[in-house]
Amino acid sequence: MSKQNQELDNFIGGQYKHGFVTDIQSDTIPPGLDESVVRVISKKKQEPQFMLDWRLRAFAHWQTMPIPAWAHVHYPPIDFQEISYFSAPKSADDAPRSLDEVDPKLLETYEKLGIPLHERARLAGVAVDAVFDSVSVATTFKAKLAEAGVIFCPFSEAVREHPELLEQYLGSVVPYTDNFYACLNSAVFSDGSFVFIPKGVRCPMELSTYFRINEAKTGQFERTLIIAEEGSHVSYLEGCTAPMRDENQLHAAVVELIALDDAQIKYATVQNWYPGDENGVGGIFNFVTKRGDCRGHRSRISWTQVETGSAITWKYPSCILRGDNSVGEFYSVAVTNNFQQADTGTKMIHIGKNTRSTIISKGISAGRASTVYRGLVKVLPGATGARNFTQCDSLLMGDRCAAHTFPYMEVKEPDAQIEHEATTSKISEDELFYCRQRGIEEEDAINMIVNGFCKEVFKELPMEFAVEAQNLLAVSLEGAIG
Amino acid sequence: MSAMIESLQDNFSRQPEAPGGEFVHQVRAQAMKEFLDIGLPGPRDEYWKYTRLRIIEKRLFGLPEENAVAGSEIGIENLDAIRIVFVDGLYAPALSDESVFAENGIRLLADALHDDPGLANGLLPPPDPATHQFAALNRAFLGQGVVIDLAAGQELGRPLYLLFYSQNTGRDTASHPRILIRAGTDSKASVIEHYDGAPGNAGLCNALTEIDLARGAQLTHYRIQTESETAFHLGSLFAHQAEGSRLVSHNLSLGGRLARTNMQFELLGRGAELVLNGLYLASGKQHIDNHTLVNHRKPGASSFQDYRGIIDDQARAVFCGKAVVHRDAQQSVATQSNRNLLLSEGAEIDTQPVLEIYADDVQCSHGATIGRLDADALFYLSARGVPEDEARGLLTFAFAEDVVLRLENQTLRNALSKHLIGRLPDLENADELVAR
Repeated sequence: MSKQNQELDNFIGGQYKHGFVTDIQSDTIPPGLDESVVRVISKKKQEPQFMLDWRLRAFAHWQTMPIPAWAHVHYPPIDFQEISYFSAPKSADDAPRSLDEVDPKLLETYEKLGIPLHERARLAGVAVDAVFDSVSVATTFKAKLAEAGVIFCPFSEAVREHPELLEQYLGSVVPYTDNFYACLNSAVFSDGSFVFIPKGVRCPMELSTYFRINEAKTGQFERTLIIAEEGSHVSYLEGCTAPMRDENQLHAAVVELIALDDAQIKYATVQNWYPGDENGVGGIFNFVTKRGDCRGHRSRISWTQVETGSAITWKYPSCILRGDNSVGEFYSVAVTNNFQQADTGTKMIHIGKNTRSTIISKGISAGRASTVYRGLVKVLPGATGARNFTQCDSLLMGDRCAAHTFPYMEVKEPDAQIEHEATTSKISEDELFYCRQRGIEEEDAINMIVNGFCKEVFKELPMEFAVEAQNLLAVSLEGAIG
Repeated sequence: MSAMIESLQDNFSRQPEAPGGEFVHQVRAQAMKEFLDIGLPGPRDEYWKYTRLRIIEKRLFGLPEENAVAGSEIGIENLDAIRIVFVDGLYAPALSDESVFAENGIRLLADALHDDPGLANGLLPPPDPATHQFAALNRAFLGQGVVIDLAAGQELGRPLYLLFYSQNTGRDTASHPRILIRAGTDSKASVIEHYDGAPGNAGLCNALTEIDLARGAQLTHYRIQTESETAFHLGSLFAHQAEGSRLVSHNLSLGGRLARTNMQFELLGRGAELVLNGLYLASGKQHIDNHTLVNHRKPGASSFQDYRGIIDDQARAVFCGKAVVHRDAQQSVATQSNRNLLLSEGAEIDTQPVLEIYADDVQCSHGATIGRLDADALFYLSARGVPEDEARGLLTFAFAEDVVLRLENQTLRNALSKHLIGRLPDLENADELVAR
């Protein structure tokens, strides 16, 4: 075996560092899915009637939908009756008011993950709405946000306390009829985050949520809704890790963003869920629908994602550029290893005049993994002055991995300018040689080159995440190739 | 069942007896069955995502009349080439250089099938009928076309000019020409396929070309489609390239109410080189679709693809260019460029440059642009006193001419430049551009 392959195997052998299960009694309903399950979930959440009706409509529609198979990913069929659709930590019944009331075992879990909740929140000035399985257990800095008029709360709380906002906005970006997994989510979504930034408010801190999947065989169906009113501004961070499991776990989240006139939403994700072991056993199925609607003039939505985890990632954070002069951005790094598969990309729909979009996608494949960039840039008639720039680059490490690019461009407006470019290559011998010659260890050199490859995306991340993302990449590429 | 399929079935039962006897008859029957089993592409067929055949489905196409007539002035004038002409899909001896082609290894398909019925299966493995139902349809009507057999080391001194001309007789007919090109080791040739038609012709041309290049063979292939704006064109081209062979493909899709061309290339040996040069021009209500697929199956092959498109009026163009580098096809080089110019409101372009890579030591890239004319270039011309309309016309012509200038044959270059000048807007006084 060549040196290159040995080092590659070292890299591939890198163990998942966040694999453990917290032993907490969970209030889980038995596996299976029918109308009564939808009703039980809604009842447990003490939801108003409109919410239940919406869920039931979604469920009825879901039963008519075929399972989609167009993505460039392979996995055994999912038995939706095998999954339990609700799981809440016991302590959720007497909803904790502060960190002191939170189950210490939960806090311990966060400690292990390197997320000292209170410390982190205090030091970094970040309000954390940590989701543990399905129910939010701690919310910090609420007072400070409330002072600014910002609503940042668990989704289930928003359903009870702000039903008028929910009725107005829920499903207005991703209707329940949108796709199979979004529809399933609409029927059985458990919890998530709700953010409302009122007119003219600049959110005083970065908002962050940690999603965790803990209970075995519990699919997580998060739902996030962010509304930025006229002239407001918010930056939202989402990151996740999950314990080691042998069985594939389904995660089908929905994220909806709404930006009104002059509003700005920045949504950043670091996704590091369990990718399965080196033989491709286990790992999370991450089938997510994320979409932002630039509803107002001069609004701006920016997606940044670093995808290193999950056995299968299947998601396309998208922007609907409805308002004139609105801007959509998508920055993505997707790293796959072993048998991981990622089919990810974005959609930019140009409807308003002078709308602009930028797509920067970096894919890194190693081992037997495959990454796919799949993107759509669509310019409708009348979207004069629309402008798009797309760049997607792939880096291949090893001769068994794969990288694909499937861009779609549909333009019906002559006054639009669309540019797309893509490259696929491996780390060049010249670059490596240059570094080695200057005394830089091979591994450090590779890290440096890979970080350079991803730099355009990392610089879009908020500070805390940029550091975390670089570390994540360094860990993923331990002993990579030569 | 659609009217079109019914008429094709009727044609099938009435078509002249197969040359080559029972074997060819069987091949035809099997192919017709394959075609009918698959039927026309449906609305959920990804391969036909942007091209719906609704406007063809309701049409009736008859069999061509035996006594084809057409003037001798058809096709490209003054072309120094061996000329073989088909009118409405039927061989027209009066218009062809019959005496010249026999000695060059060039035969009519009907004659070749008499000698070797096995040719009915084609030169290459038949493509999957699930996506290539029209290739099966072509086989079901096998009989008209040309077989070119180049011996090892043979060089064809003059280009071979194959003209497929559709008349406007008031009757819509369907033709299914087949061109088989087998180039032996280190042979060299240039083949021009020209699909042309009289204004008002609304027939269907379902042509299929197979190219098999042995080691070191070199072929320059032109596919020029200038049918009438009411005609329907479905074209396929399949090519296999052995090591060290070189194929240059010029594909100009300029005519047709609805025109779809599928081209698939298999690079099967080290050093195989493929150059794809393409232009599509859609105006009025035209719908022009070009699909290319390049399979790098063995290490060390290269493909270079450059397609350009101009879309005007209410027309729509589709381009899907796919390069696949298969496992272990290391040291592959695949580049692709697709540039599009949208000239008016109501025009539409759908483009998909696809890369599928299963090997790591490769250099692959693609780029696509969609836009209008460069404002700086327009300003440059305006600043020098060129009226804006004229400046637009010149720049649009220059954009398309880049592709035409890559054709090696000067007579063809001039003829196509003239065609472009006739088609593109704001080029009233541009004839002097060609006289070079």
